[in-house]
Amino acid sequence: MKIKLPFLKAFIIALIITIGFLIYVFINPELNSGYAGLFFLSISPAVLIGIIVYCYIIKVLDHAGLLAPHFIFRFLVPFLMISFILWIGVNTGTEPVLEAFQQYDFSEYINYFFNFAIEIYLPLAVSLAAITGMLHIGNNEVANNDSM
Amino acid sequence: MNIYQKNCLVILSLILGFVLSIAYGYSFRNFIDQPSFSAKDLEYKMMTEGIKTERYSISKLFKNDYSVNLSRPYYFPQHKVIVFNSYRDKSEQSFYKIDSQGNLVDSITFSQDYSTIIFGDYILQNKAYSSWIIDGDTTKKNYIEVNAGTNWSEDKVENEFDRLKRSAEDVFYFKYESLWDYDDPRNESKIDKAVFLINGIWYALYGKNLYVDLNDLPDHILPNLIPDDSSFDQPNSIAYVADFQKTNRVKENEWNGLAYINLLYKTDTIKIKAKLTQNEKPINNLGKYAAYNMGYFKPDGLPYAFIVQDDNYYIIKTKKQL
Repeated sequence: MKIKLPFLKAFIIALIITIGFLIYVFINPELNSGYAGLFFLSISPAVLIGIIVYCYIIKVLDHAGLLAPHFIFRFLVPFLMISFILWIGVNTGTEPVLEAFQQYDFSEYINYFFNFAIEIYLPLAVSLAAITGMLHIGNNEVANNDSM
Repeated sequence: MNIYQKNCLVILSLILGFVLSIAYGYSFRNFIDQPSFSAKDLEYKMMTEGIKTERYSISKLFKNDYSVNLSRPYYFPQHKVIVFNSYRDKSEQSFYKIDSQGNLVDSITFSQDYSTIIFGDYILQNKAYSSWIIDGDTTKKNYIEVNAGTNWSEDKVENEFDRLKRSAEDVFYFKYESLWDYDDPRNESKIDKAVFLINGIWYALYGKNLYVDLNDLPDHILPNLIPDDSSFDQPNSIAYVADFQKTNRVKENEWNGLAYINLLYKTDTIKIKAKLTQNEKPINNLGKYAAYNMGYFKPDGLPYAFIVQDDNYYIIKTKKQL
């Protein structure tokens, strides 16, 4: 069962997630303090386009046979890939999230990772899972066509 | 290997990547190269642990935590008392009195008045004043009004002002804006109020343009003796950081850690361990340590002193002889 992705479907998915993203920003006082809310509003078109692009990347990987045709894999592989790249990214450079030169014990150290995970990876996981879930809607037709 | 196995492999290797990166960070990056501080840790104590030297002991000043919005100590040398002012909001202010032996002996609260202020040895408000600081009297006294009505000519007010000011020990001014209700005609005609202290009694005079801003006048607030510049880094005769243990890096050249502070009080050196941030390369003559959360107040002529850390007050007293 391959993913069927007309542009309208990608656009509606992107719209729903972008609206969700904005609601999340505006009900979250931490993200919506000062001009931060306006900032997120101003980048929302980029978020929209980014999600459309993401949908097509999943479709291409799917059709190229690089992603196993199951929700778990279509969600988990890109999610872990993005998370890992993000993790390496934020921990290099002059001001890494998990700074060298600490004297944390192991639980403190691991807590820094989990705090980061809850703040960043949880919203990311929720949105990627939602995108993948919606990508699954309306693929039966393709499946039928394939079987014919 | 089918597509499912390949994908599982990718997922497992990514998870392994996370585990390895955390293990690497914990094992090989999580350290600071510095000498051991275990000897210092025995010598220096946190304020909350209670500190004792040969002759002095440090204890919490207030049993309950008045820490929120507590003023610096006001010192009234003539009466040998210290007064703290605390407010929940500006309309409700409480005052606490510490006697010459360092005991909290009295307190008073004024509510529903935004004008409450310590001036001289008195607590003044728009409409009344209190001599509680001097004599512990908790009743509010009214000002004796020189011109209750506003029908005086400006010349007459001016002459009376000069006459009162000559014999007054102290003068304070209230501006019309914060004095009257909005719909009061005296607010419209900008009538200020000047109050004069003559022989322990405050007299009030009303008139236009009487107001003088006294905010910059020296008052009874004790100065904070903790140096706020680079002299806090070097040995001096008041208080300084003798050593610093880094606990974690905030960013380049900035460290969180524990400062080992020597605070000199009379004959003893009080050794305090406190959480401070160190800026290794401070610009200009700024100090290495931002000591804004610490204070040291020493009233001349009283047998005690105060240390404040994170808005909690501690008192240094002579130890009781057994």
